[in-house]
Amino acid sequence: MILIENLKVTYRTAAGPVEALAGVSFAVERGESCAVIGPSGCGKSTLLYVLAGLKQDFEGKVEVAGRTQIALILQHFGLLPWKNVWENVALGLKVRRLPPQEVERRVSFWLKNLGLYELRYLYPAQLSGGQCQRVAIARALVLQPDLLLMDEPFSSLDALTREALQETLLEIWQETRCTIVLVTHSIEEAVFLGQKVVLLSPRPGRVVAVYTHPLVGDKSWRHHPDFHLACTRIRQELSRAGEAKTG
Amino acid sequence: MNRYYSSLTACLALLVLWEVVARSLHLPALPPASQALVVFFKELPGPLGFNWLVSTYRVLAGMFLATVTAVPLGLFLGRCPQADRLLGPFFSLIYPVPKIVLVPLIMVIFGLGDAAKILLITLVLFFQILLPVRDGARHLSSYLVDAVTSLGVRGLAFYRHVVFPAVLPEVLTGLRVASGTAIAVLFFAETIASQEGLGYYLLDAWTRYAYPDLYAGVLAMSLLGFALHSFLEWLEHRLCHWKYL
Ligand SMILES: Nc1ncnc2c1ncn2[C@@H]1O[C@H](COP(=O)(O)OP(=O)(O)OP(=O)(O)O)[C@@H](O)[C@H]1O
Ligand SMILES: [Mg+2]
Repeated sequence: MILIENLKVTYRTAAGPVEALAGVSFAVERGESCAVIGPSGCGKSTLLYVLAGLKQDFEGKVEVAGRTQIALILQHFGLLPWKNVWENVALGLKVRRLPPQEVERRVSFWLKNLGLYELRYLYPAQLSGGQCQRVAIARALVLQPDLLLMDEPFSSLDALTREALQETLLEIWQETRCTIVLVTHSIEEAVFLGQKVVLLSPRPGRVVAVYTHPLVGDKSWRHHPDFHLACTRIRQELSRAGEAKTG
Repeated sequence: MNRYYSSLTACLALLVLWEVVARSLHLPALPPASQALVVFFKELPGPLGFNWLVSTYRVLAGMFLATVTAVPLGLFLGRCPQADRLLGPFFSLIYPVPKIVLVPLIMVIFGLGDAAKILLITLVLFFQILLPVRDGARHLSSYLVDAVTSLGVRGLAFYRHVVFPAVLPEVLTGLRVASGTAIAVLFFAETIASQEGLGYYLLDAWTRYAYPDLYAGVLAMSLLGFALHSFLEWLEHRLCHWKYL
């Protein structure tokens, strides 16, 4: 589905070049969920921008299987303040000129599915963080993407909302069979959601390790003994990578 | 609703004050409010109403022209830095020039009729809209732009759904703030070799020492300004209600 080989990204700034990614390689299979984790500023968002096609000056090879519908959910939801929930979710379909009945059908389906239907006439300013996040998710899912890119989608939420939405995401993933690349800096989230976890080093980002978790998709995975083992392993690796950098 | 009542009360209080002061001073140049009001309503179906309509038409036409030219240009300059680097300095240079100094020039070129007056109002309002629209479009938050770009919103749809709604409050505020200046400039232009418009009506009453007529004209002018201001405020609340949640 996705093949990344030796991806390098350098930002040109007034203060000189900033190397964000220094040769990242990994692959994601079709239908797989992949979590990318790494310290702040290591180039995780940059990686998603490249995958989404929003950033085009990079070196290396990035292949996303042809004719893929990609949806991106950004770190800050990026909802339009002048459109209500319904209009925000429908926007992507409207600009694709889908027939109104089809827009209506898909939007109301996802709003109901995510518990937003009652809120459809409210504006983003009237919603809580968790509700905004669900609107951003709905806005991506109405496009029926086969590749869902998410940048720290749950970072601004309280623990309970966060876990509830993680489980919602798992259900959606299993229903739609889409491929997911999720950026996070929460170790638990990465392990709970990522069949594959790609660990990046501090800036400039390189792949330090890749872990696989076959039990992802099972809601009880969070309480499995291996879950904590996996978390501990990643935590150790992360702090070792950090020390190697500073020391 | 409360605000309408308080405006109404303020208006009545002013009229009462005027009446009292005028009746105690007995100056020919300050007729009582009641007298001015009588003339106002008597003249409304006649010359006053006609000239009022002429001025209103000029203001609205100027507003319309300024909006349809300045908004697209501002959006374009805001989203296209190369064009802005080229044209921006010219606009920054012309913006602070008081447009009223251009009155003689415009009259020489465009004559004494509607065209010159409408153009003048357009000029005054043009810059009041252009610069805020440009700056608003330029400073659109990048994560909003990235989010909608990734949704596939591009080209004209991007302007329609993202840039235009983002700057609409600026447009309406710019229009509202500048509407006072626009009317003042119009008044000035209409007092120069004009045969129509509220400015002409006022000047005419003045030269005839017809003070009640003069005050009726002042009332009409104030009402025009007030109505425009209120209309734009209403429009802003109507079209940008997301700002007032
Ligand atoms: N537009 C830009 N111009 C210049 N440098 C940038 C730009 N965007 C990002 N960078 C730099 O590139 C590096 C990687 O940024 P990126 O946003 O991808 O990090 P991140 O891993 O997503 O961090 P975080 O976890 O804090 O979101 C950072 O050091 C940042 O300073
Ligand atoms: Mg980031």
